[in-house]
Amino acid sequence: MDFAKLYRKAVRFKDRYRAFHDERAQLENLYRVCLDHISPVTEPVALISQIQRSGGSLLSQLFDGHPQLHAHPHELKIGHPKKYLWPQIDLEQTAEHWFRLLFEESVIRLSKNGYKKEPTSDITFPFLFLPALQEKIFLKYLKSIPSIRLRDVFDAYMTSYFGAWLNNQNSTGQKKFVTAFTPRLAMSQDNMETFFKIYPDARMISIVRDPNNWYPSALRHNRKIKKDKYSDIRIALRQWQESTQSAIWNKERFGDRVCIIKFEDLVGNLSLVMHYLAEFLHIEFDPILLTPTFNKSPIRANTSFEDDEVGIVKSTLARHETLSESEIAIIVEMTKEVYYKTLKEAVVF
Amino acid sequence: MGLAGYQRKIARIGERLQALREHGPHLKQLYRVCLDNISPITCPIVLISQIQRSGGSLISQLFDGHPQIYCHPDELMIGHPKKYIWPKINLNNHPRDWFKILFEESVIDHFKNGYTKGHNSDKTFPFIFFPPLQKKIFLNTVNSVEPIKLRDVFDAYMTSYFGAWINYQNLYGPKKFITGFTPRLGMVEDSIDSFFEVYPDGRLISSIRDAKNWFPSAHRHPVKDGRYSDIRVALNQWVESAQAMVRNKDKYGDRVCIIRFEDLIRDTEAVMRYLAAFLDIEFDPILLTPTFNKSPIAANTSFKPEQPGIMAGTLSRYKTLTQEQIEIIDEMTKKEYQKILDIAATF
Repeated sequence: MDFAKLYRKAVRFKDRYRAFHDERAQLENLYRVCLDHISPVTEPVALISQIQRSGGSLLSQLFDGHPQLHAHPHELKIGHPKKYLWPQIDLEQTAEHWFRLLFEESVIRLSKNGYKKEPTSDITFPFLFLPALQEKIFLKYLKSIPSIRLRDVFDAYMTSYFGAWLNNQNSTGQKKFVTAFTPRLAMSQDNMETFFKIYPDARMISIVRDPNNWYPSALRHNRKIKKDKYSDIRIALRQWQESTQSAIWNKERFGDRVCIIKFEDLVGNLSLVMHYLAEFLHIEFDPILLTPTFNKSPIRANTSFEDDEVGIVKSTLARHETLSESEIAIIVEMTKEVYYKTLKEAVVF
Repeated sequence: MGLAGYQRKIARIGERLQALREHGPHLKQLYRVCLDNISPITCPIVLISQIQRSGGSLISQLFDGHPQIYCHPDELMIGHPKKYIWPKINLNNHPRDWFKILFEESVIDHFKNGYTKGHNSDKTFPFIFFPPLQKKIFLNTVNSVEPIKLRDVFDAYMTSYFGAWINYQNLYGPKKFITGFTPRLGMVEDSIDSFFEVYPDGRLISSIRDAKNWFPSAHRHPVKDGRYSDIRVALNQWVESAQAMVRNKDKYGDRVCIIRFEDLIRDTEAVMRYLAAFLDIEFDPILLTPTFNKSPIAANTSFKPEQPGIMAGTLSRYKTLTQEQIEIIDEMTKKEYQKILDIAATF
């Protein structure tokens, strides 16, 4: 064996040793590879937003896996100081500061424990995500832009999010939108003004659920959350009203960029609704739009009731059956007018 | 805020700092999550094999991305002691020894430098792969099986390979086969016997390229040992590969499929529809585009032009031959070529 061959063999041994024993080198290699292959995510956001328990996460999971979409896999929590407040970015500040503001802490828990639809669920979906890598991608992306505009900061964030999500099953192909669900964000006019200012090419989808079906779901959900939001029927319905009025306001203000869907249509007439939404987003219809998935794996519904079906839970349409006479009377009294108004603005199937 | 609230807040800040630290225990956590979520891979292999420069890596790349297939992205190099010798696994040895034999060193380089198609290409595809994680998955999988059979070792290897390939784009959904391309393995009778012994449900696909198109490509192909520089030495290898195809087809019947390289290039859709039926998988348009981890790639040609997709120019390599070379090729390969054409799929 000549010297050159011996040398090559020694290098190979060294590489093999480092590959198996030098964790730091592996991590640095990972950072380098990802930073060398940044895929900019500059597509506009298709925001799904309304009050909780209206099918927002279901719709978000229906978009998951579509080849022309980057689907944010969980609630989008870039809001600041609360998740339902669109973050105000001061371009005078540093990129590190912007990252601190936008960073979604939920990825820490998700990357540690995986994604579970419900805390009690025995099915876990691995979510391989490195926050430290995300920060590096965010900073590197922004460094490449000579004169940073507000939109660039959000593009940098989306680029870093999908770049640091290592096992994302849908990172290739031509994308048209980033889909994301944030409950309540659409309920503030300020939020929506800022959102459409940054993303003039964006879309907004709001789902309205019949309050007769919504209230029992919200009430049950209330037991699982720390803050008491829905135990008093009038307080709960006032929030529903606020959300529904906002949907109307957003539709009036932003026209064709906003789409209102009835929850009952989504569950009862899924294929028609998803065909419609595919057209709304100018994407091809794909059968994956009919199955709620997380990172392309089918998941169970996030229901407050005991159903344990994979996919769409039809019984969500019959929650009203649990209401008492007096509850029905209050619901009619408080929501009838605004509900009718919304139905006029909502898509008809 | 009460004491408990402060404690939670401090814990959250601590976690945040740890998560954003450049050299935190990130890989340990990543390994743990992967080890907690191992997806066993037990489907059989579709081996693509014949002599080099016959379209083997093209077929492999056409299978890449198909939702019912795990596609090994590079040459499958589990062979031992040479890549074209099917590895002999001694079940009395320690699983660590099995891993040592099967481990494909090429993953180290691909993780370091990215995957490159062709020797002159400057386009690289990221390949995020952790060998220590692969080893852990392999050992965990093997240890979970009792009593262990030869097939379990190979299943554990495939489970570990796709489990340690972190940015693999085609992990989910029911799969029917793993596709893997190893040049020349199909030429070794013992290797093919061992392959079908481990994978009685396996399949073998061989592609035959007209020697007049094959030789110019092989001759230009940069190999260190100069195995194709002499036309007669080169053609002897082509003949050996062709004879092996006839033998494999005779011995393993319907599990073996022979296609013509020229058909693959000229009528890709017909050939890929045929191969989809052969493997009992749905036809999917992704079968018509060579991809690496679902991203379109350029052809691995010994000649100059490099554009993504299938290169029709590969069909006219014979035009570079001299009259004397044509005569030698006819003399040495005509008989074997005709035999192959009789048993190859027709389109």
